[in-house]
Formats: sequence, structure tokens, C-alpha cells
Amino acid sequence: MFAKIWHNFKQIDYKFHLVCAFLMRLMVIQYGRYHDENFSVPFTDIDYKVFTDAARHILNYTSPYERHTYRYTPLVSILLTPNILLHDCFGKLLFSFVDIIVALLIRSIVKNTLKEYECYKQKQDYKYLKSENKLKLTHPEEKQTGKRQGGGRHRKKHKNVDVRKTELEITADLSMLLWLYNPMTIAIATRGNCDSVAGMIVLITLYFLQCKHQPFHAGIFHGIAIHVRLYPLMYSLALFMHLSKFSYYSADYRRQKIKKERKVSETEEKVTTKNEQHHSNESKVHKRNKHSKKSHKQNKTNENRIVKAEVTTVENSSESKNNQITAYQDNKKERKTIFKKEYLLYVIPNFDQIKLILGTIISLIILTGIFYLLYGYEFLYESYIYHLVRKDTRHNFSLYFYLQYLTAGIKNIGIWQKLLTILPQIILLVIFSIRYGLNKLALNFAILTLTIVMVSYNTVLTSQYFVWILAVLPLCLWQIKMSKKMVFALTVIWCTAQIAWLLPAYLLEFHGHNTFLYIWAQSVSFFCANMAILGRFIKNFMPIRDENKV
Amino acid sequence: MLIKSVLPFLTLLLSISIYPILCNNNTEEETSCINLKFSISQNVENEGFHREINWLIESLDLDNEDWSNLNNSLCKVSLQLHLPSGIFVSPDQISELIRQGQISAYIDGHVNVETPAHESEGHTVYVYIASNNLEKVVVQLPIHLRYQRAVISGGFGKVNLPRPSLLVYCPQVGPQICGEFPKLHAPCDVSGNHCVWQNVTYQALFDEVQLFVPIGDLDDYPLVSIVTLLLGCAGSIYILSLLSTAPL
Repeated sequence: MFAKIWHNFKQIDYKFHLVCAFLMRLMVIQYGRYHDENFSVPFTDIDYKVFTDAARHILNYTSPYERHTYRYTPLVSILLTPNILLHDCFGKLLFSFVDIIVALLIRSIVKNTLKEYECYKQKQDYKYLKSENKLKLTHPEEKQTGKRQGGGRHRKKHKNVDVRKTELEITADLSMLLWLYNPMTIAIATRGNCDSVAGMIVLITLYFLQCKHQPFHAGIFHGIAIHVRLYPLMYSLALFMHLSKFSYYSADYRRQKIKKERKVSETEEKVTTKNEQHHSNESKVHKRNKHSKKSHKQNKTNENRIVKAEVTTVENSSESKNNQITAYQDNKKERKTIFKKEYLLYVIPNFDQIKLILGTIISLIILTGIFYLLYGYEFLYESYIYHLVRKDTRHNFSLYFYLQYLTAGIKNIGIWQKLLTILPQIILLVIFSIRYGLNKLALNFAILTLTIVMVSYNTVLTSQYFVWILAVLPLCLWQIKMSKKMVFALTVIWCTAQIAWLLPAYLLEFHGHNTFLYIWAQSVSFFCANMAILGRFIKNFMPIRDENKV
Repeated sequence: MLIKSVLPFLTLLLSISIYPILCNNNTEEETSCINLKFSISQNVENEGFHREINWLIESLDLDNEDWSNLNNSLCKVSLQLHLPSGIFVSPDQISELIRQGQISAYIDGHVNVETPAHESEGHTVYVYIASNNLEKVVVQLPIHLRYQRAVISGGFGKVNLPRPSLLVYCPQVGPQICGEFPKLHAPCDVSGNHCVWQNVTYQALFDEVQLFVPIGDLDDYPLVSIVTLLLGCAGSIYILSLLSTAPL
């Protein structure tokens, strides 16, 4: 019964969902108006009032920064001037519309990465597969469905009602729905929070980078994203690394790998079997496959050591011959912290990377320059510097809040405290950027892990920061293989940790109980929950899905 | 010659004819001065960091004549409240309330709503009261408490909420209030232009209150610093260890 409903649900056209989700948001906005009139605790976000007031300043030809606590780009207040000219719900409508665009972006990015991934599985040359038609023919699942229905694509064109979606489309649509029907995203847009706008620009960057392969455009949007909200700055290294020629699972890498496989000699075979442990489906060439896998399971650590030794010896012999292999092996070495001079080559930008950097710098400088001329230093301080030096000692979800509060009055805090606060997150950010950035199929996952690290290690953490995660989470959920039980458990843990934090915080803020220590304890558990979830994601992340394995 | 002899006479005549008018005027003013007597009771609602002060202002012994005089006059009444660094009034909340027509107030001084008490300065709020219903009026003012510097053994910090001053301003022309009061310069209205107000005495039907704010406990510092910092490192080490075994 439920399976059937679920099956039918999956077949619904995505446009229907878009309209439906938009109508849902309209209804919530209408409810918000009713709520604000009748209840003392307002439905509308405080920031929404800030935007509206700033827009009022814009209309009076004064600086939006005259509004206290306006800490955003002037673009937001300019966009929201219709709030005063037309109706004060305009901004909420705009943010709801942004939600719909985000959903479309999620859909196309997921579709694209899925295709790329299928390409990779097909072991085909990238250029050959680039043309869509050929890709469709080689797509195994699409082939099946095509056979079953006589070409799903063609039917759609004839507006047949009984069109079935392919697996690929279903995955893409489900990822989109996760964003569209998420109560949190609905609440955020309809309460008038602008963070989904930043999410949208980040997604546009990813879209241009992955789907359009236009690094310059991606750079332009990356610059805008940094301008709107400072946090996408942290993605820069991952984006840069994504364009690296040294990345594995890339087109060149595949080509080289196929060549390599043909040339494999007896001595090198073991190394390639090691590769296959991660993507065994494409390694039919090697017959020792199974054997090595078994031994790997039996004695992991032992083999790790052996393989590492083998890798280095092989690497030495074929160093000049094949750069790609080094690129692949880089990760192993990086983990083992063996530094090699070749790694410095990674930093030298190639043509695409230069385009990306140029685009970013151009848009960032233009936007900053214009607004600096208009509003002066106040703009620089409020929209950039403030976010860097922000030190809010009031209670929040952050692990570091109570420590910061306790040391707020003390002048001579050791540098070690600052160092220990910043260092763990910097290390994680850099390693994630390099490791997953270099993986051609894992850019979305890189962005997700970076965001989670950034949010959970932030010294100020409020619930609006969770939007950052929500916007990029649907992009790579299909790459994280988890059982339904696990997904459910993680969701429950995360929500419980959050609610458990809210109780002492409520008692402190509205009833004046001294619950600082309890809030801190809950912040600690919330941090642990975040780390546990991140850990599960990493453990279960599979850039190369192997149906036989699962 | 003629003029010289007539002039003193004329001036005498003039002064005689004017004198009664002047005199009359003076006596009229004295009798028609408004005899203002106020009593104020105060009540602070809510607990925690967000409170609301309610003042009930009542006029005592205000007879009909005074009443009509007051209504005809352009006199203004306001409450002046000096807030210490531990308390603040949110300028944005106030301007929102002004837009909604729920309050008429002016904040003198810069308010940073995010800083803790020891990094902040006090400021002054003026709440203007419409003079047409002075018989009995309730004034509400939302205030917020600031975080205070953490201390050893924690507990609660005290913030004294000072008594408000009642200011009255009457324009030069028109009836004045009776009695002499200390004068001070203060903003006339929401726009912030200055006028000379009189600080009127009133009968306070309340005691000065102390507000309590929860304070962080410095005794927790060793525990909190060690656990927090170690956990931050442990988290990243845990993730790194997972990375080293996770498939690429």
C-alpha cells in the first residue's frame, strides 16, 4: 500500500512539486501575517525588520548601515526596497522564490553529478560521453527503462501522461524535494531570513563549475557569494582544487587509467588492485581482485603497511611516466603526512584555476568598490570585518560560547586558547578541501563537509547557520549510503540535541535562572552530535557506488 | 519747548494707563498657574533578560480649571530615565514602537545592543506622555539586561534601576506650572531638539528596585576550558582518523 503510494509519489513531475511548494510557502506567509497580529511572540524574523528598516534608509538616500545591527551587503536592502514601496511581504515572497530556484539548481546539479558518475562507471572517454545523446545510450538504467517503455525521453516530448521517470531523475527529484518540503527551509524563507539567498549563489557557483564547466562564471558568482555572506570564502580552496589537473576520477585520470591498465605489468598489479578496492566494478581486467580484497579484510592494518611500501616503490619507478598516479596516491601520503616536492605543483594554478580566481577577484572588487564609495568604511566594517572579529558572548549553540563568556572579562588569556579554538577547524577545512576537492566526483561532498565543520566549530552559532548546511546537503545525499534506520537515528539525535539545548536557554533568557553550565553541557553534546553525524557521512560516503558491495 | 513740557506728562499718562493692564496680567498668571501634583507607581514585569517597566502616573488634586488649563496649554510631560550600563533600551525596538504609535520616546546616547555590561555605557531615555490624559496614564517601556562579567562563584548580578525623573515643559506663552523646579536641557520630542524642562517632584509609590541577572561562574573555568578545547581537538582528530580509513 505505502510502497505503491511512494512509487506513485516518485513519479510526480517535478514542476508540480515546485508549484505546490511555492503555494505552501504562500500559505505560511499568510499565516505569519495573522500570527504577528495576534500573538506577542512574533513569527517574523528580527532580521527581516532590520532589512526593511535598511531598505527605508535606502529610499531616503541614506546609508543602510544607519540601521543598528544591519550586517549585510547593501544589495539585500536594495533588493527589499519594494517592502516599503509595495507591500511588506515582498521580501518573504522573494525568499520563497529563491527557494524554488535553489530547488531547481539542486535538481540539475544532482542530475549532472549522477551523469558524470555514470560516465565514470562506464569507463568511457569523457569527451565521447559529453554529448548528451550518446550518454543516454550508454546509461545502463536509462537503457533498461528505455527498452521497457520505448524511450522515456521521447514519450515525454509527446506529452504522454504515463511517462515514467528514470532512476537518475528520481534521485535528482528526491534530492530536490528534501529541500522543498523541509519544514526548516519553509520556516526560514517565510520568516524572512536571507540566508537562502547566499545558499542560492553558492549553488549557482557549483552549477557553473560542474554543469557548465565555466570557471570564470563560477568565479564571478563565487565573488558575489563571498560579498553577500562571508562564509563561502572557505569553499575557495575546494573549488580551486576541483579544477586541478591532478585530481583523480577526472577525465584525464580515467583516460590515463585505462591506458595504464592495458600496460600493467606483474609488479604493478597489486597497486591497481588496491585501487579497485574502491571501485572494483571497473576493474574486470584484473583477476587477482577478489583475492586481494579478502586479504584486505582479514588484515587491514598489515596490508595497509605493505601497500604503502609497494605504492612508494612503484611510484618511484613510474614517477615521470604518470602524473595521475601520483595524484591518486597523494591522498594516502597526505594522511601519512609524508611531504613530497611534487605537491607544490598542485598550488601552481592552471588556466581554469586562473579563470576562477580572476572571476572571483573581479566581482568581489567591483562590488566592494562600489559600496565602499557609496557607504565608506562603515560598509567594510559591518559587512566584512564584523563577521571576522565577531565576539558575541551571549548564549548560543556554539561549543565555545561559555568559554568565551568566562574569558570575556579577563585580559591576559594565553594565545594557546585562541590557537586551540581556531586550529582544529583550520586543519579540518584544509584537509577536506584538498582531499575531497581533488576528487572530481566529490566536490559537493567537499562543500558539505566544509560547511558542517565551519558551522559546528563556529564561535557564534545560531540556528540560521543551519541553512548553510541544508542548502548543500541534498546535493550529495545520494552519495552517502546509509540505512534508513541510521538516517532516522541521526535525525533524531540532532533534533534532540537541539531541543535539549533550547530548554536551559529558555530558562536563562526568559526566567532568569542561572543555567549557564547546563547550556554549556548541551552545547557540548550538540557539538558531539554534529561530529558524530559528520563522521557517519564520511564513513558512508561512496564516490563510486558499487551495487555488488552494498 | 512745548514738546519738552508735554513729554513728562505724556509718559506719566501712558504709564498710568498701562499699569493696571500689566498688573492685571500678572495676577491672572499667578492664579492660573497649573498646580501639578503627580504620583507614580512602578512595576517591572517579566524575568530574565527582557523586562518591561510599567509606570502608572496619576495626577492628584487636579480640579476642573487646572484640567482645562492644562489641556489648553502646550505643556509637555515626559519621564526621564538614566539607564546604567547594565541595562539598555533597544533603539530599533523603540523606533518600531514609535512607528506603531505605541510609544513616544527618545534615546540620548549611543546604544550597542550586543556588548556586555562592562564594555558598555549608560544612556538616557525620554518617554513622552500625551498631556490630554494625564489624570491616569500607564507608560510601558521594554528594557533589556546586559550580560555581566563572569565572577567567582557566579550567582546573580545586581543592576539598580534608578527612579525616573518627571519633566514638564511649558512654552513661554501660555500658562505655566506652579512652583519653582530645577531646570535642565533635554530633547523636546522624538526629533531630538532641545528645550528647557523643569524637573518636577512627584510622589513615588514604589521603592527603587534591583534587577537580577544570571552571571557566569568563574569556578567553572578550569572544567569548561579544558573540556571545550580538548573536545574541539578530539573532534578533529576523530574526523581525521575516520578520513584515513574511509574509502576515497
